[in-house]
Amino acid sequence: MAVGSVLEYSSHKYFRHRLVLSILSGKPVKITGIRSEDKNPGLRDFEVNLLRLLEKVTNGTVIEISVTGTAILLKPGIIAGGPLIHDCPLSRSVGYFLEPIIMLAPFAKRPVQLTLRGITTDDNDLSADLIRTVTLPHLQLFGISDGLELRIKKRGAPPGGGGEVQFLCPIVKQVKTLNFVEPGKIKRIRGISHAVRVNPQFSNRMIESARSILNRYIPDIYLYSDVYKGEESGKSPGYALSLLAESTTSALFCSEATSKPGVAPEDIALQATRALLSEISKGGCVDEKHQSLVLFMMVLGSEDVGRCRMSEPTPRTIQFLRDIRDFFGTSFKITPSDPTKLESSDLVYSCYGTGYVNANRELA
Amino acid sequence: MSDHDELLSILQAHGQKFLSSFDGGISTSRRKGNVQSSIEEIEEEEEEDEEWQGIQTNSISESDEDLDENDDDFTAASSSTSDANVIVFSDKTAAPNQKWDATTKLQGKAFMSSKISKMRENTLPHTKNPTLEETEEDLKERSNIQNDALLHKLVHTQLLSGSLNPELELTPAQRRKALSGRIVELAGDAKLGRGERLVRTAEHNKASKRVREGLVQKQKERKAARLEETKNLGNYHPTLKRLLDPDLETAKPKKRVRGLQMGVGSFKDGTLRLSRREIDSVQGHKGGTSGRGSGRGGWKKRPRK
Repeated sequence: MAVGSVLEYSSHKYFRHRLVLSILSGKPVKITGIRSEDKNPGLRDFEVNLLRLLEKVTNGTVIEISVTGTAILLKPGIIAGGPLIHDCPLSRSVGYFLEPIIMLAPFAKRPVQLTLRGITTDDNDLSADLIRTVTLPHLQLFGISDGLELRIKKRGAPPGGGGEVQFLCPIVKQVKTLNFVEPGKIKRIRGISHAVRVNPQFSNRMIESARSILNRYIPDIYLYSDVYKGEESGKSPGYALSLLAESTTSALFCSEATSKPGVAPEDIALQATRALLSEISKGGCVDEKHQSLVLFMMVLGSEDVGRCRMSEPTPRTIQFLRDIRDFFGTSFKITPSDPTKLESSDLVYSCYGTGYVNANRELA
Repeated sequence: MSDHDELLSILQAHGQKFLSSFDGGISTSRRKGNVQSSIEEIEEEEEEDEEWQGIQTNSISESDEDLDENDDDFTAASSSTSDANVIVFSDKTAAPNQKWDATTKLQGKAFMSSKISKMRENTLPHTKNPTLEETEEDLKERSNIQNDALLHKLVHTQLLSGSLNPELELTPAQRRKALSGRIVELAGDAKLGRGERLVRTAEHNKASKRVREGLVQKQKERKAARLEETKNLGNYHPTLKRLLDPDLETAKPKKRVRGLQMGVGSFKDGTLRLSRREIDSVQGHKGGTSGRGSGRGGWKKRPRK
């Protein structure tokens, strides 16, 4: 590894995906200026925890953190995988930590069996339900499906936490090329509504009010009421509704809403429903929250042109595309999907895969 | 006010008509005259009724006619109010399109399962197909078991003790015994492969005492020699005892019955299973006075299961 190949970035934003790109490409990364102007400068506890988790998952990674905590240097090792247990802090939910692991796990040496403890459902990140029902099926598009599991053993609502999830991921040699340009029409809507340590009727109330809007559109709607009791319901009360819509071409759109103090469950459900409908209206084959994951897997595909149709990129996705160009040297070609239709904002993202092969994997 | 009175009188007339329909039509002509049908529609209806009744006078009785008349009047009176806005309150949560059948349950289980490969409901949901349809693996497994059974049958019937096989060079006596052994197996008196042995032991029993005892002695010696041979070769294991000694094969260890065998019912799977008779025997018969005579024989002991 040449010394000159260290990539430098600044600011605490886009922290996770830069670390993931570094580990996968093998190029060391230096991030400076992390909250240097803030009252509490430097890395936050969840970021340090994430670095610790990445250290556990990989073998030979060297992480250097500056004295003030405003700069880090990561020299990546190989992704080892295997059985792991990790306790997440109560400041961010389990989804924050799972997302980078999902990106890394298929390229590990051994199949990852990661148990994470902490908060399972949160405002800021994807909840464990959505990860299980939407994020992981996106991996199936790339040929990673056999043995892919996310078990929600216990639920934990903020601020107490107490949840536990187990993530199992198989290893693959190479990721398949994606060609997903047909969004299709929505054929089915599913939802998971859960309530922990509160009146179980809240779950039913959310389902009823969500149905009051969704019933107008298609008949195939089923909202499941997930019940966890006793030990498995965590330490704090809370409830949430996660919705997902599946199209005829198996494109998934998702949305969710979690409980807030003083807000009725019906309003939470309406919030989630309206968010789902707005996601569907944006169009494309992949919704906004999973744009990065899909683009990432497209880059790592075989040396062939991969194509995907999505809505306009979010600022996070835009920065992600820039960083991919820095790490892997691949740039995307983004064209409007239908030049004749002016009102549709769908874009087709195509790229030439790098042909990344999982050289770590144990062949025995 | 005159309108109001008119309406009142119409209402009263209607009420009277309705009540009179239960009397059985005492004097219809009088009632027809009493009807103050100032509204033309009712008159028209009546005329129509009369016409209609005229056609049907042969078949129906007068009370039916009255009923029909009353019914028609009733609809005529209310026809003017039929264009009110109808608001239907329906409970959408009842979800008439959600038939709770096995498919929905299967889909639900698939959706909520932690395995992502099962979650994708790409295949159409089967209703009873998992039990009726056979997957390839099932077929393979069944054919394997079938093959095992077939092999066992063949080995014990044709391949080894084939009495008709000329290659074996059986003497007539051996052939006869092999055939009779096969027949005994087919008859079900012996397990597969043991028929000839049964026939031979039966013949041994017919021999004289000295011959019999000599045969038994020789058998014992041969068994001991075989056992020593396997032990010397290193092929022996205590679990093979049944294989080496054919007499022990039939002796199967019976399950020791636990408990004192007193009390009613059987205790299985964490529950005490009682039959109706057992409950009655403890509680006492319901038809006590009538049945007591027959039950006087004493405390009947039921056979233990």
